[in-house]
Amino acid sequence: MSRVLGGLLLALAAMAQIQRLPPRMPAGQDTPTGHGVIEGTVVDAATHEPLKKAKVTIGLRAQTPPTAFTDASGRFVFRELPAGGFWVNASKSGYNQAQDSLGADSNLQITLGADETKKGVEIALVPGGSISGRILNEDGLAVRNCYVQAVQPGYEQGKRILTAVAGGMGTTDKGEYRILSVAPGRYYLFAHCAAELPAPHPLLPRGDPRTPHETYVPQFYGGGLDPAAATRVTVAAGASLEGIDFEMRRTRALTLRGSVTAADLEGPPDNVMVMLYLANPLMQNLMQLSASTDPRSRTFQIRNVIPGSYRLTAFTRREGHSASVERTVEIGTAPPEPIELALSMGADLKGAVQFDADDHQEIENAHLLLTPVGIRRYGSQTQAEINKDGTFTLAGVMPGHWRLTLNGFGYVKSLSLAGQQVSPYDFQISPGASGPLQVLVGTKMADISVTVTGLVGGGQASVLIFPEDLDRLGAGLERVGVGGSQLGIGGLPPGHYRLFATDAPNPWILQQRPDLLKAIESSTQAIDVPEGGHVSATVEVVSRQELIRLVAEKEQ
Amino acid sequence: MGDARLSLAVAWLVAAALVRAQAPAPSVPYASISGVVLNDATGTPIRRAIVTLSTLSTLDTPPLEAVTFTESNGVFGFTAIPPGKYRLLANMDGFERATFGASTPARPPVTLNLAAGDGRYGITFRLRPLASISGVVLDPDGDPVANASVRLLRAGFARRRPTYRSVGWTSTDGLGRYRVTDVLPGQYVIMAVPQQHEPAALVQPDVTVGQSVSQKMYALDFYPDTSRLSAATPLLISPGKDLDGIDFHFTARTVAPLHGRIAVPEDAQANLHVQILAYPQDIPEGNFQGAAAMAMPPDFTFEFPYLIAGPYTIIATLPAEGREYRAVERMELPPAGQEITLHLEHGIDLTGRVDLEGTGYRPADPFRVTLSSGDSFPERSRPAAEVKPDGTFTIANVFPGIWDINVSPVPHGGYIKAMLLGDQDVLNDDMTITPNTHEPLRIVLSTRGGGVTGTVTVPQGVPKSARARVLLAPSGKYEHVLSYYAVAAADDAGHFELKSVTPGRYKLYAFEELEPGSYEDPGFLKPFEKLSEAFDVAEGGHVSRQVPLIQAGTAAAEN
Repeated sequence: MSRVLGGLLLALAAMAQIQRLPPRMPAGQDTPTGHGVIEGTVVDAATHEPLKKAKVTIGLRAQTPPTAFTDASGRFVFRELPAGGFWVNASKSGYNQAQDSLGADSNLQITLGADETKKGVEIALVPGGSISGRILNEDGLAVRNCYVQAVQPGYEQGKRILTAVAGGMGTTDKGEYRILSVAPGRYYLFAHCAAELPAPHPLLPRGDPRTPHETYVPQFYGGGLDPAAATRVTVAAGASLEGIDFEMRRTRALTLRGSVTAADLEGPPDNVMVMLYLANPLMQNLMQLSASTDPRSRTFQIRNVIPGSYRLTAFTRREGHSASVERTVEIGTAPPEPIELALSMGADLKGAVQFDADDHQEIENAHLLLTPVGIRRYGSQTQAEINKDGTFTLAGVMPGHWRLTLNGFGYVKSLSLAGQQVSPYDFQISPGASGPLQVLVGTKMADISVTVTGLVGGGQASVLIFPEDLDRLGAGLERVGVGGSQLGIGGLPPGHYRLFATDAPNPWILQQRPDLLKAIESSTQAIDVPEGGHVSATVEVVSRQELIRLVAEKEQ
Repeated sequence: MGDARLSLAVAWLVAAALVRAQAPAPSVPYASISGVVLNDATGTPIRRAIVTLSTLSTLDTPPLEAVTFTESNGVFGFTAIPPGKYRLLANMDGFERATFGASTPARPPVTLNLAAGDGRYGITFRLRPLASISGVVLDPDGDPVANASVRLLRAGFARRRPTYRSVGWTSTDGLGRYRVTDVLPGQYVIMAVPQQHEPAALVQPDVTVGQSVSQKMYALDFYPDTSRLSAATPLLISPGKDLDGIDFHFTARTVAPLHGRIAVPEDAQANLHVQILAYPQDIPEGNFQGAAAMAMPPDFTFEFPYLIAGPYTIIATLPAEGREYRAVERMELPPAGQEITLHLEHGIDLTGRVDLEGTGYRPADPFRVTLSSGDSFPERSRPAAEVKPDGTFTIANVFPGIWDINVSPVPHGGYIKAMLLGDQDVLNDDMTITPNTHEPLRIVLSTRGGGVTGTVTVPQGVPKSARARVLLAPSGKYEHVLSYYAVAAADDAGHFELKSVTPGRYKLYAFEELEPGSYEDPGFLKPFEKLSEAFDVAEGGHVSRQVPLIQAGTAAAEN
């Protein structure tokens, strides 16, 4: 069975199993009030027409946030507000919150003085576009229960991956689909019809493994399973994109069978989850097939697999111990041979830390964190407390690429595994590997004072510091400081960094996007951070509009 | 004998298929079949319909199946079929599936008896197109409502009483539109259910912090625009109908808060919380969409702030030390809200014994007695017990209410002779359990069931294909006991056989067409009663009868 997002989630939510409401407190308790007033309108961002029955909520510490529904003039008023800062949020079916290209929601922030009346607050909602079309098969007949998803490239754990951002319900009996509330932008469209179809065959026992089946090949709009060859469509605010049709092709559907064993796990493996992904890392979120193992026979079968290159993973967890295995699988047009998966618990890596100086804080405050390099769906992080004598054990480490960071004070200055020097940012654990891990902790970290130039009087700037080597993103080397034209940022390990300053409100999103950091490179300031001590730097502020322009240029 | 030859021939055939040899169509020793699949409504051929040829399945072995598709002219064929007995099935998305010989599910299917060299040509399937229903759900301002759930309810009978069963559902999209497909012909009620806990979207621009706003919620809407199931107009759906414009208009109602307390008996542990479920009575299987609340010690008060006026079933449960306590209340919640007290009761332990009359039968597995709810309360599990070797059993935690009793396995050819709660007959009448029930339940099984055989006779001038569905119906004072009804299919020669018949008085009816479950409708047989003579079946006795065929279209079963 395959997992699909979008419409299926919507349908599940509507099916509403018993929901529990929080106990209700009488209104008025614990709600601070004053005599402040916030008054405003909600408008359509494209036409500037007022929006009726938009839901407006204000972030107040009350049991239920005060909610208003705008009238025909788009008007809303909140009265008896205390002094302070609030966010004001508007929503309406078919509309999306205005988002800048950085992907940040613009929840309106309002600061209210005591008994102040603030008028003319305007919230613009972007009308969602829609994408619709029809899905037919090669016989010209409508295909029902197909799911079409609007897909965009994103980042997960630092790696580029395609993710569905909008979807609808399955195609109707007429093969028609519609995706609503699509934010303006460029999208791939991915159609997936998950049905296992019969194929002609002579007399065979029902359920016989030789019984042939077919299924439809999932595809991008523009053809094929390769996003590089796919057509991207552009959705403008409020626009309806129609006639985005697909012709689905049938292919042989195969069943992958196998069994699991777990030599080093105590007792037989039960509750094992087996997952099959396309080998292409870009596609992992779009096509996943999974199965759980039968507890008695410890076998699994994944049906409806089309020929291709895959990664097969199995994972189980019991009493805090996890065991897993991963391997590549090639599926051709012939029924595949059964696969035996041997789960292993991973190695316990022992090690010790040493410090590069004698004056350092107590070890008890620090622990080591092992995180995977690349996308992992299960059993990701491993943590180890450092004992008083400096020793530690990282339990159950699976083969693969890992990164070691230190939480607490200091940083991992150098790392060796079984006597070999390795990079703490990306080192490999092979099957059957053992330690010891020797960690050298760097204790000297630098402070940086940043002068931001070009700020318009009284404005605020956010300063980003990130490693020059973008492969080191996510290892605790990024910092953000927010303030006026003078900022201080402390506790940075030595190395090559880049500085970036902007007056845009939510720049920290950039930190997860190596592609965007590359785009703004020309506006960054290189800085060499020494081991300990103090450094000064100056950087020119990049305005929000300029930042959006740089990002948009990159998106072309 | 025939089987050995069949399996050998099949093994040969399968091996040949694996080597991908195009099976030559020899006249000996195989049979072949060909035919066409048509759209029953238009008469046009259906291409890429799936036709399945299968052997008859037995208890031990799965059937063998061969699959082919129809060409663009609707034609299909099977060649190189080993001699034997087969069924033929055709299906296609958007159509009702059809088994050869059974033009509707009301008719029994035909078994094809193929000998070596047989050719059956011109087999015609007429598939009935399924219908669809679509429309839009709107709020009081005429704006679309997204994520409303639209449910299709099919009229039927349960325990001889008219009822509705939920047969499908879908939800509205962002434009408030829905479409329900693959609807079988029949009578339906269609309803729209608002998203749970979503307040009605009504214009309310001016909000003062600290003042509670009176909530309004949408009410259920049955087509056409009524909030009570009893007032809904059923839709009659014919094959292939694409019904559009079945729209719903939600109305917003002020909430009617329901609150109260639970009276927890002394012997129940006082430090657990009571779970309460409130669901609208008008939705079949509505227990899956109930609102939930909890009552905590020591006061055990509870509140449902978001209900609206209407009929509800409230169920409170408290699991305590292996026993479950429960309170059930069916109520009409008034618009002003209501305060209620629910009294928890515990289930009783129902003891009893099973006795077997008759010789020569030793059951392989122990007997099992299972109870199922007879007053349509949503039961999470069915109280059941295994019967001990000495014949006794104890079913724990049986809550007050009406219960239907099931005992299995019934001896082959035997019947359930008696069920007595104390000295009350609960085989022919409902068993009602109260908190004070202490009588034992005695079940008697007998190996000496009766048998009824016979032939279906065909009126003059009607072609002699007497394949009918024969209904055995109790006559007289036990007419209401559903378990005495039985249906058997007559063969090509019109012969039929019924075994394990409970001794009593009966009538036999042979229908050319009989919808499954039609006898659950108490009025169904009334037009035909005069056509049949009652007869008695004795214990272990055997009766042979001739039954005249009631042709299709004779007297509407409804009304």
